[in-house]
Amino acid sequence: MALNYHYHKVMEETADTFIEIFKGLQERFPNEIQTNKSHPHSRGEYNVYSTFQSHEPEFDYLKSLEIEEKINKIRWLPQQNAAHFLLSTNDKTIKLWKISERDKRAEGYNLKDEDGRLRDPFRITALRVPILKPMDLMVEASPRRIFANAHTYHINSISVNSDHETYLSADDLRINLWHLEITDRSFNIVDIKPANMEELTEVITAAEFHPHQCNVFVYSSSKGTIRLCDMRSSALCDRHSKFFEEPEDPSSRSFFSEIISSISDVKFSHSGRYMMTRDYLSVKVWDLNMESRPVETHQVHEYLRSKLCSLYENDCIFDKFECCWNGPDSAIMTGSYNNFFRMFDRNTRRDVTLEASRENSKPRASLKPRRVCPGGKRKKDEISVDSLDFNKKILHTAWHPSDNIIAVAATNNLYIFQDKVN
Amino acid sequence: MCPGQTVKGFVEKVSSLDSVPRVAGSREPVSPAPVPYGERQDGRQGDGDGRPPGAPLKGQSERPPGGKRGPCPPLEGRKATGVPGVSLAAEGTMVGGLKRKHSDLEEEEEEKWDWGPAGLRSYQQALLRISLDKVQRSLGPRAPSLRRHVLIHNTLQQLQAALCLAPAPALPPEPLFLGEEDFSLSTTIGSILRELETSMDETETPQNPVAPPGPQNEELPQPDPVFLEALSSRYLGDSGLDDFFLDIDTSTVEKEPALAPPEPPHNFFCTPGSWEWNELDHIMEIILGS
Repeated sequence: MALNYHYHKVMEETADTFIEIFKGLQERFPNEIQTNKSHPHSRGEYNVYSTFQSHEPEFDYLKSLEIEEKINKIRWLPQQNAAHFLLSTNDKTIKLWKISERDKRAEGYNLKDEDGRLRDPFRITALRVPILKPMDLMVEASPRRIFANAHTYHINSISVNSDHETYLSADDLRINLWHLEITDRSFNIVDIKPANMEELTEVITAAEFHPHQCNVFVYSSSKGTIRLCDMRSSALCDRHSKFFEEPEDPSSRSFFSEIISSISDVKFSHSGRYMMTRDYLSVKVWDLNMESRPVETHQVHEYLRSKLCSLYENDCIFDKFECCWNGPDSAIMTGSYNNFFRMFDRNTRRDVTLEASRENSKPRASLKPRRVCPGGKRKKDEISVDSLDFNKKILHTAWHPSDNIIAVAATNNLYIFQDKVN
Repeated sequence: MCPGQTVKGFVEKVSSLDSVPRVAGSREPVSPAPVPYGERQDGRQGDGDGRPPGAPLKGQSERPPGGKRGPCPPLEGRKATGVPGVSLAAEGTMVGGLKRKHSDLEEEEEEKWDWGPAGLRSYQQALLRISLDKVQRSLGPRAPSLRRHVLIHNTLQQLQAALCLAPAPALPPEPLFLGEEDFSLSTTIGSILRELETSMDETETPQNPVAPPGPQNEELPQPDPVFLEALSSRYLGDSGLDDFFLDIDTSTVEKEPALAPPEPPHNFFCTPGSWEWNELDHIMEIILGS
């Protein structure tokens, strides 16, 4: 039916079609409707679950130095009961937090009344059993352990071991091993501090335990190397078991070569077979069985290579980006500037640049891929390198362990994206 | 040095420096100067203090407005204090570089950057200055980032090596130069790292299971300034060592390690051997260098 000639007929037919679709919907699809209601995330809405202050600023009077309350890393512990546990650390102190829900409260105490005041014992004439009554959901966060005074330098990493009992904390020069229950003692397992500090040329930048082998961990350095250590070999893991380093490409050597090779994050794959490192311009995937070079290298923002001088001057070259794997280890993700983040599919070798920004995407609309024009002619919809906003950097991203849901932190906003639900 | 460089073109050269040939002394062809870093297509203005619009605020909040901008040339427009004979360009002109109209930009791009030995050397010296500037500014009330310090230090060493390899121009036979470019630079770096160690050194906290370092680091016969050693002994908690240093008069050069070092003094006459003296030493070399 052509719409122009048969307008009214078309309207009727359309109306009938809609009625057919919606008629009996409640009866035919009760489960799906219920799922939609109880899973608000399928409609793309999130609410803050809990907010708490983990660390406070401190002042070290002996050295006249401020210790910032800024949190450097957060790591969840594997869940063992209804409560959630996480480790959070600032430059000097690690804290274990317990986050639990309370949705019931007891009423009818014998010794105190509803206000909490103690009742006069002589007034109590009968005993009663307190009754549990529902209340508005309350989320409580309480500090369970405080692990302090074990790091002279700034803590950059924490990693929970697969034994669920120990964890490591790493600062610029040392790595310590802790037991989650014991706060007054830690064991130093790596120490790269030279006897003469003037000889210092390399620092530890990140460290992580192997996801399955509780005796194995890796740590990365500011010179772009990764060392894998086995705690069974000796108490102090000064000698590595494996040493991963990619030989430098002499044609791209510059004064900034070392700075951009500094690894800002290292993450094992879920399988434990690979690890991924992030340096300033790229993400590399390493096979643990091959130390000589990575098996994959993905360029994050190669167009910045010609801008390194400016990025050095304004300090952006020291930015520390994180990276993450998806559940099946088939894709990896990392952040960039201008609120861009990058995803790489390891199987199809395709990559995409997306933007986390309220202005440039409507809620529930699919994200449009972005393109950065390295120089010269700028095509339509491309953004030139020089209009990138280097204040808007995405340093932290996270991928849900099993679903295709990602969290992206853009300055002071948190974005949660997911696959489009059909 | 860089004849014909005006302050106007000064800021724009920052981005063109990014297409520097990689290896010192190489003659790789240079791509045409790109649109300056941070300059938007629509010609929007940057911040009032001359920073490119896209640059982060971190690390720049301590800069004087309109001061120290761009690596080259190190003299023009640079706020050089305490050194007589150097012209101090008006700070406002730095800002002018970014607020220029788009048409001015295109005019500048036609100027070819000189990548001969003189241009390269000035680039290296400019990077040197930026690096020293960074080190100086990062010492503040907040504990400095060791990673950043080490990376800048290593870059400084590379620059130093590159500058030494390049034929150094003849220096006047004045005692303060000692005829060695190395001395002032490595002393500067050395004193910076030692200062870092003093402020971040291990304390004798009882919970720390790692044994605090003994006084092995306190070897007297080091050629470096003794006063820093005396200061670091305070943090080792070894009273015996304190007594050892009592006879040394450190009042003229002693300073609080934790406070930010003062700006390069306006007073030209610094104590020989102090940190400021070496910095001045280095500035003089750059001035007389080409």
